[in-house]
Amino acid sequence: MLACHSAAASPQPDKRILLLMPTETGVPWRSSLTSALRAFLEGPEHSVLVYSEEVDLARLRESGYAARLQQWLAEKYRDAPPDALVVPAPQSMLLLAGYAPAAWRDVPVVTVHARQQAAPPEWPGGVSGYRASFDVRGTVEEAAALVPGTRRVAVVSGAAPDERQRAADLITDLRDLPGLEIVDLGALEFNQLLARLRALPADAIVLHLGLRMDASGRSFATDRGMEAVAQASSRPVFGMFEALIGHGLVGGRIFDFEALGEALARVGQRLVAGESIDRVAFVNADFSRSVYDARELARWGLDPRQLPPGAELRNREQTLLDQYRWGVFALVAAFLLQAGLIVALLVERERRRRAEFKARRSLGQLAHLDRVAAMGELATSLAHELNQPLAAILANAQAARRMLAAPQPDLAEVRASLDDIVDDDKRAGEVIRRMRALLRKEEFQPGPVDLNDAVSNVQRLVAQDAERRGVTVALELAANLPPVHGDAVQLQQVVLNLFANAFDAVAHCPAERRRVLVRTREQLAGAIELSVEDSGDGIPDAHLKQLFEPFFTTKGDGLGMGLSITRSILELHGGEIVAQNLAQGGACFRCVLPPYGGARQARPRPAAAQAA
Amino acid sequence: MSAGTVFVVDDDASMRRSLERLLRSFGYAVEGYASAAALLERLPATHLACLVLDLRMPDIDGLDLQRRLAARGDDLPIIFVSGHGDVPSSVRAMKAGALDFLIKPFDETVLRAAVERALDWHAERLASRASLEALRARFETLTPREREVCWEVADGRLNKQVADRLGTSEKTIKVHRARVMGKLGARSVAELVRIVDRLRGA
Repeated sequence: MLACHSAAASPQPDKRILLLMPTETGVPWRSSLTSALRAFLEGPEHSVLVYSEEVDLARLRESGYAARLQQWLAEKYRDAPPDALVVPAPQSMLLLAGYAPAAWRDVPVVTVHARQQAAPPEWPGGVSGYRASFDVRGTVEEAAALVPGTRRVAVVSGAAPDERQRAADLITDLRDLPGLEIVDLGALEFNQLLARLRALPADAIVLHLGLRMDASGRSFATDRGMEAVAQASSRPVFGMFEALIGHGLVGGRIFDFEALGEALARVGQRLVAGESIDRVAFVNADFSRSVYDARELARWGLDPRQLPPGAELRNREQTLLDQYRWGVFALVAAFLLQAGLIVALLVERERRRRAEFKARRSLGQLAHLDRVAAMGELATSLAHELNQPLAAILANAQAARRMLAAPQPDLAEVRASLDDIVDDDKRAGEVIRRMRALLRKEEFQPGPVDLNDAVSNVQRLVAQDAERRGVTVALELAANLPPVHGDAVQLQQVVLNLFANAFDAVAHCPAERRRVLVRTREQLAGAIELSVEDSGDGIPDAHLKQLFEPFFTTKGDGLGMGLSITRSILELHGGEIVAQNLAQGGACFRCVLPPYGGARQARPRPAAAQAA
Repeated sequence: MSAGTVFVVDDDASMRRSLERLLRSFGYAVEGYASAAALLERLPATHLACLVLDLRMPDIDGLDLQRRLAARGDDLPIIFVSGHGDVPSSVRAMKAGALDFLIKPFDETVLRAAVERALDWHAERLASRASLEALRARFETLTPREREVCWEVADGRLNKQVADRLGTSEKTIKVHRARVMGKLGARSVAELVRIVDRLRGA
């Protein structure tokens, strides 16, 4: 706690790292290294001050420059001496003792040491960092693998002394490669170089080590020089500088200066944080990775499959997926979503179908109970209707028996009796058939149903009831009525319920006003309409809305299911029912049902039928 | 077996025909009508007859027809037939004078017995109606004075009382009474009282 407190009270003075860059600005790798190093050290985590100096000893070699530089540096950093030096180039390191002020002798140095050089330099303050260099050998090996039949390696480099030195160092790595002849094009004037490149034999490849200055002392911007070289060369050009990619370089083991910058910063940070230089090891590291330009591979007809595993391929001819990645993703997502939606809808449809099936079945059961109840109410009338033929049959049979017992029987009359017996028996059978048709307990069986038949059937069934109640029933059935799509039993039940409802509506009216009118017709749109009008008092407005609700009844003895079931049946048939009061008094229940086979199915007109 | 006509009214043609056949096989004269209105046009029947009537019919039903016949003073006996064992209707019919109420279907013997009873009843009615007519005819032959004496005697008054009320002599009353009894065919005062009762009741 106390320590924390005191630390907060008197903050540590800022640590300083001085970066000693070897060459002038404008060299491409310099900025990548510097920005990576600064990003690491100056980040909020470490907040080390980074200073940077341009040493430029490679170009300014006159005697006295090093001394003046030393003097100037000492003056500049007198009050803010660096806590560590970062010297990211072997040449600058070699010359460090020549220009570093005497006060810096005990400051540790972080550097990168080329493997081609014999030993890391000594420094009183201690040296740490990385032993790493351009992977020139790996580059040539990969190039040879890519370009079958490679025998020669033409090496392009600058003519400046440091460039010559570096080229010579790098080329040593290639000396022991078997069957490869090294052709050094480093000491040429630029146009001569281009001429040589144009005339390269077919078994050659070009290795570009960077070109800053030609033999005539002319300077080149790295990329411009590269473009001219690549354009002139009759053979593919390989190299190790990232900056050359995109300017005609096929590729190679590219040195990652960003990684180097960060690695150097890491070591520097450890040193300024107070770690002893003895404990910060000087380690081997490889900052190279295989990078190739797909367009250049294609230009030279090289097979990308010959690249080493893990090689990065830039400027690849973009596939549809690369080019429209998000579009493709969106499209795939949309497809998946759609597929999911379809599946969900199918599942939902199945679920609904099941639910509908269940509802239909329970409606079927309910409807059956309703029919049984309705038939129960009709029982008296039906009994009478059955009784009538039975009584007639008995009387006829007994009469016939008596007639036959007579001495001279009137056989014609006996025959007439028997004929009547047969007719009455059929009549009784018909009553039973109609009853059974309505009491049938079957699954929903859709098919074409003639609504007129349903009305007549039910009308005959309720005729006795109507007579008993003193109700006059009138039918106005449309001729040539197209069939509706539905279940005959359930549709008869609709008619039965509407009849029963109408009979009840007129029950308390004076005898001459107990009238029920049933009509069928085809609407203009092709739907089939059934209406049942009564001459009762109409429906109170308050009841109109609840009329079709289950258990709504105005009758003392009613269950209130009849109209509710009626509506359910109609809805199941894709139809509907509305109740309204008539201007002349009484109510009208109007049902609309879709025709069998849909409206599209043309019905032969009677005229057309006759013509045919 | 009484010879007589049975009228059958039933709107159900088959039922009507079967009844007609059966009744004919019993030996009755049968007339069938499809509606009460058709029968009303045919009536009144002056001879021995009965009516087999369907209770439930459109327009004029059985009970309605029964009422109309009663209103006309027609005492044609009625046998109701009905498919329903409808108690209130049958009670009303019987109270209104129906002779029988048969529930369909019924056996021939039941029908025959009912018809026989009805015809017997009607025969009696016809007979009593005939004797009453004869009495009336005889009564018409009395003089006004004789009728006055007849009412007084039938009311149980003695000759003397009658003479006082009519302001005449007892002897004159005796003469009138003998004439009245002779004309009406009464052999005793008691018989005269019965005859007058019948005439009054009619």
